Amino acid sequence: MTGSLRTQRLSEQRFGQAMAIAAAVLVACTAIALWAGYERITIPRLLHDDVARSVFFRLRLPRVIMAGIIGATLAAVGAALQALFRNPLAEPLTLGVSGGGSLGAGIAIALGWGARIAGTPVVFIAAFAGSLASISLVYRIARSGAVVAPGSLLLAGIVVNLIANAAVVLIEYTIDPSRSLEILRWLVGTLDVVGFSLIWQMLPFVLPGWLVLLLVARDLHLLAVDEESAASLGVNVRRSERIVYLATSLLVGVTVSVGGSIGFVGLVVPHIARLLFGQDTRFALPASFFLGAGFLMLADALARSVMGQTELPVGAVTGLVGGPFFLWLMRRRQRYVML
Amino acid sequence: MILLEAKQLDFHYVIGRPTVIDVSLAIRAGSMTAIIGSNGCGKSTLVRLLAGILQPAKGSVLYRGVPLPSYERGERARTIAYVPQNSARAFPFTSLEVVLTGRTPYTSPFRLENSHDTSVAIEALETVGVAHLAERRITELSGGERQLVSVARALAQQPECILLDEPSSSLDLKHRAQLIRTLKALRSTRGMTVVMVTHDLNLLDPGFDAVLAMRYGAIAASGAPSEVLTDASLAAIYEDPYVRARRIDGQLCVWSEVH
Repeated sequence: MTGSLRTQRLSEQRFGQAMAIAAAVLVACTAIALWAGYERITIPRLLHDDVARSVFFRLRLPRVIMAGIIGATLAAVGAALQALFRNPLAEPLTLGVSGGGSLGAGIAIALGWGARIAGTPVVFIAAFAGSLASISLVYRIARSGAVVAPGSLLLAGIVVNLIANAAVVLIEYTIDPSRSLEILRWLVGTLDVVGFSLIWQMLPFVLPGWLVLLLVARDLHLLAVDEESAASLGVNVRRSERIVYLATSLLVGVTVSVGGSIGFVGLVVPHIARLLFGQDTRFALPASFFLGAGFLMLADALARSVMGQTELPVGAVTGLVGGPFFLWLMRRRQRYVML
Repeated sequence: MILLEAKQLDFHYVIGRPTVIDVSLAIRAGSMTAIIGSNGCGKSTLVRLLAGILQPAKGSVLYRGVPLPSYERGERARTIAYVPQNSARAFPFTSLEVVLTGRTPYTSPFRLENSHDTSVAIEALETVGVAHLAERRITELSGGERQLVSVARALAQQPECILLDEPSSSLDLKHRAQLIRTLKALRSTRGMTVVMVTHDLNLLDPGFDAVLAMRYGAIAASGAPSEVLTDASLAAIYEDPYVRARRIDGQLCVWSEVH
């Protein structure tokens, strides 16, 4: 048994190494993201320049942290949904979860931004409800009997997303046509944030959601291998599904309320994680947190710097990277699985 | 001793269209039982009910006299293994990774598998004769190879009782016979109880102790293979007057005349 303990330590060491590598990538991405932008901020400037310092602490730092939180969330949600549905093309955008969330948030915003119930922004709750409604709807459409048709799942998700976006545009135009540019930026996904207050508001929702996903990682791994086998191995499939729906809807709802529907982070990052650390969801899911945070920080740094003084919405960057990646994956996947 | 018992099971996927109707059965410990019947007669559903992954609308499944739902899930998985008819291949897991999932009921939720688990998994792959596939990705395997990996995953659970749903449907003639030989060996070395849904009627006698025939969701016939696998009884089970059962060199052969 000492031998077996050693291997267990070895594989757990391998897990530790994987997480250390992912964390190191995140640190590097953070450094680049903090430096890059229309204003390049270096350490000497930070020490001696009051303007640079103010830009850094009021704008740059909160924004990079926000990108990190949202990126980590979307990537982990993507990894969880891919495993749950055994579909490598699943992610918040392609399953309509983002769309539903933005419709919920859109309605709440139209009815008045600042409203709160028991200290909780109404917009978060509305977006959570929207996300939950759309994932349930998409799942019901795609499931027939014991099987979830992978093609139907994606089609239903994408159409729900289109409907939700159309409804958001309609609502916002009806209320205030002068805000059309703002709405457009939000639909594509953008990270305008000043100060830390929004981050503090998000954390009570995001942290429990993250924890739940980590707790169900093993069930998700078994489901990714095979649903019926997972059930026979002791996974309560319906309960795991419900837990993942609730957690992912909450997470996506909150991130969409803050940053709009930033697409494809949840698709690209879990694939990178699996490429680096193997197919095991117990590795890929936690690694997706680190890599997702780093990925969105870099994408946002790019969005802030490529156009000079004008900022691109970060969703345009992730869409241009992730969209073609989706198509390439779909093409590659057709070799062994029919959609 | 009766190991697995079903009492008046009813099940439907769609209300008004029952899939399993009033099925009662008893399976002895250490026996090999085949469930046969035409396509869509409810065999797979019955096996899922026996495995505890579907819950009956009425009736109950007992294991060692105790209702299946009162077993803790992990305990159930250490006792009863189930091999589905098809398994997913959405991600390119290696065969070994798939077989290692069979060790889940023995591992705590936040630990990874240890070398004992790995050696049990490799032994399971060897038992079904596919150890050479350990590092291959399941997405690159043939249907038959994947079925054998799936059986190995179930064996890695080290169960008392294994339920298999058409495990040999994609296997060639050599591997079909090989799989039955393996199951027989496990029965005699570990006392494993085997319940297998199959269309391979030629491999049941000699070898199996009991055959359960289903028709329209109900048990149409049951007994020793020599009793159930006869012209008259098979003609009724499959509603096919052309079925023939003959003993050739001591082995019971079953076919349907094509003319």
